[in-house]
Amino acid sequence: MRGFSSLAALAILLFSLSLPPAPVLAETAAAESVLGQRDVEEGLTCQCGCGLTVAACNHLECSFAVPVRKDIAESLARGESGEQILERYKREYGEKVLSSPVPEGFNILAWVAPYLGIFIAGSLMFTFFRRRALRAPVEATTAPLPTSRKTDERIARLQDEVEESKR
Amino acid sequence: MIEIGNLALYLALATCLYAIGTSVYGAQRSRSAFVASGEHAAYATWGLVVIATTVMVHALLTNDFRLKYVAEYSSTTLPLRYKITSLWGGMEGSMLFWALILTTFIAIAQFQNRARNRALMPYVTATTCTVAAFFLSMLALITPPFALLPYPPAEGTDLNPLLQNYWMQIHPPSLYLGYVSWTIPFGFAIAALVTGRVDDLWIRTSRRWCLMAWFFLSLGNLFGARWAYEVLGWGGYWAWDPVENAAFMPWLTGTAYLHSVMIQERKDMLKVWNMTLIIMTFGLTIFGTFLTRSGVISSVHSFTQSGLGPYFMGFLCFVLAGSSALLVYRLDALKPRHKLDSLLSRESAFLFNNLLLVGIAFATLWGTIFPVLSEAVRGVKITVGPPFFNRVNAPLAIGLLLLMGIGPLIAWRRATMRHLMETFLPPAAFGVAAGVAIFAAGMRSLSALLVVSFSAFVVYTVVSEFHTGARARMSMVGEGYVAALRGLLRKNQRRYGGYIIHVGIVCMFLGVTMSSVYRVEELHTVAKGEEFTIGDYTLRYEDSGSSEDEHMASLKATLRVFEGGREITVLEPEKRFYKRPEQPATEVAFRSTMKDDLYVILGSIDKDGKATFQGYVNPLVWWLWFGGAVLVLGTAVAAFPARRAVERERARESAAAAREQAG
Repeated sequence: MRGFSSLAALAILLFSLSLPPAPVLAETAAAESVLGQRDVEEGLTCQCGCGLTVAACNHLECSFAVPVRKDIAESLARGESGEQILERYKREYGEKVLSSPVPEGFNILAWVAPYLGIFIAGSLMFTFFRRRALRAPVEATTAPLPTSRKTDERIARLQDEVEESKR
Repeated sequence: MIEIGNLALYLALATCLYAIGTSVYGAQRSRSAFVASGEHAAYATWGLVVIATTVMVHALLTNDFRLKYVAEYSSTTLPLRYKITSLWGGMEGSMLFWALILTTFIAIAQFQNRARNRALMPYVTATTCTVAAFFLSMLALITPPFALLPYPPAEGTDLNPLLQNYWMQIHPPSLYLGYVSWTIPFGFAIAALVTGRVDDLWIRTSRRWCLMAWFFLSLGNLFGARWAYEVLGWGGYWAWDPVENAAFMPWLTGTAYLHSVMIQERKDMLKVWNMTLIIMTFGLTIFGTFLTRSGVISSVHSFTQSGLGPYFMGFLCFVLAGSSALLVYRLDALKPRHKLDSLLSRESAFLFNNLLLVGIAFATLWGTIFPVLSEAVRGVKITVGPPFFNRVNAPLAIGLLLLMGIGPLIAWRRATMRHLMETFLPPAAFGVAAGVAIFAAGMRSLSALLVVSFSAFVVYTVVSEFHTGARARMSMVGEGYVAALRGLLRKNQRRYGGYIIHVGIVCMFLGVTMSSVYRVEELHTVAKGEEFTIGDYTLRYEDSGSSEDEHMASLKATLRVFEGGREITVLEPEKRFYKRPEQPATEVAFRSTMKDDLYVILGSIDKDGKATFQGYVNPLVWWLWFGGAVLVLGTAVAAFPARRAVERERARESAAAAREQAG
């Protein structure tokens, strides 16, 4: 049960680290926005066919990325928030212009599934290896390593080396 | 000549099918003559594919534009080296190249095992030849490389300019060698499942193949990153493109396998898991080929849509269904002999490592196919780009980095708190100190702080492993420190080679993190003689020039670079215009040091001489490539056994062969 809880905690921790910044999840006022020019450029996919974000598009005279970068700079200067700019582009080009799925509705699955998968796979693996092993006697060579003194540690290491070199 | 190529392909398919049939029949009926005939047929298949490939290379070298493939991917003006590399520049050629590598590897595996593993070999032959037969049937029936044009052109279309680069000469072959090598361990795994001999034999026999596959996949990914860095001109090296992901996923599951297999060898655990990982890794190599050739997912790397997709999907389903059925059939025989005693043990650390590696592979696969899923479910096209992959995978990768330090030090079976404190206090303190130091130096990014701290932790553990081992040898054997270190490496190359690889991975982590988090980017339009700055560098636009030959026209700018008022280098970014096909390309100019890379792209030069430059300063990116070199060194140490280990292995094999004969 302890192993299960540890895995659940690990999965939740990793998931929370992976979520997009809070402002992307909800509409916020311009004053509260934390999305800067670079973040908004990263949030949009270039439509020229390069497959990169607007920030990374390598075409210096790109018909999409260049004017969009300019528009983002001007819009931010006017007081429009990064989220509002992203929303405007989403309305104009559809969801495909956003470089990652907005975590709402079906798209939540995109963000949750990897961690859910890790949690389920991990639970199954650890349960399997703890419970479904053959009840064979434990071999003498697998006794726990001595841990307290330096000399013990060295002897343990040499035992370890010998055992591995036999393989 | 062309007819010979076609005929060789058809005959290769026939001999390959014959090899499958006779191998299985011979094994089932215990008829060694049939088994031997199957193996000879596998050699013959290889010979025939060599002939077909030779015909294709000859056609490329002699500009035989009667062949559709040569007309589409070569030209009379294409330099010789690119004529050869255009063998894998297009769909049909790359499939032929794949078949060549695969049949070569099958022949090598046959030859290596001509006098050993005789119970497994018929099924290894049958499995690997089934894979070869699939590729050969695609070549013979669906995408024939020797298709002729009714009206041959006087000149070819030429190879895509983006592929006319040094890294493109070595990136695809490395990747293909990596992909294809996994077929051999997969063949041994299936043979073990069919025969019920699911002990360590198949693992030991295929260990070098796995290492080779992993090594070439690592190189292939690195070379591809380097190519993107030098050619695509966006200052980065990894864009989470579906085809990049396709090469990354089997690398991840293969890495998981190389770790978990140690648990099976030592503790007789994870047998089902190891089988699953091999099947998964091989399945992902086929999935990657499907992605590149099906047109299901758009990618800058993919070949033109070909109609191969359904066949690859069908073959993948066949592989997964067949392997899973065999695995379920042998579940009882695959039961572990020991159970996991504690979550605080080396076994658990390896399991967590596997979980995270497979987790990253799953997250990458999920992100790659999610647009297709979304369109199917909601009817809405969405993009899953780099920000998604970075956000989802970064925490997992950082966790993996931490485990790289924990795994080698934690005790087998069960670690006590006292042991943990004694063992981990010094490296943890070193890691925290490194984190505090860079925080004090002004770094505030959480991911950078974590990566630096964990990297320091890992490096400390690796160094202490070498140091403690050497000290132990000194006291037991009476050697000097350097001799003890050498002896340590010689006695257990696999373990210490692995540690060297860990150091390489740490270097790569540092390079990737720092160049992503602290990249500086600037765009400047300047007249001749004017200066501009990027980060700590000052650049003076000195001059521009143009040149033209029958292959391309080029526009070049000359920039003098100063740091701290001192001239340090001259950069010459270029803009090229290839004539066939008409396509512009960027030739990036950069200066690479251990501290950072100054990376400059020429955008345009106006009529009045003003030039636009995009510049980047990528901190520590040098360490990414250096980490790759360390990884090569570590793999070499781990893969090439010392003479004594070879002798031991031979003795073990002789004993096994004697037992097999007696039985």
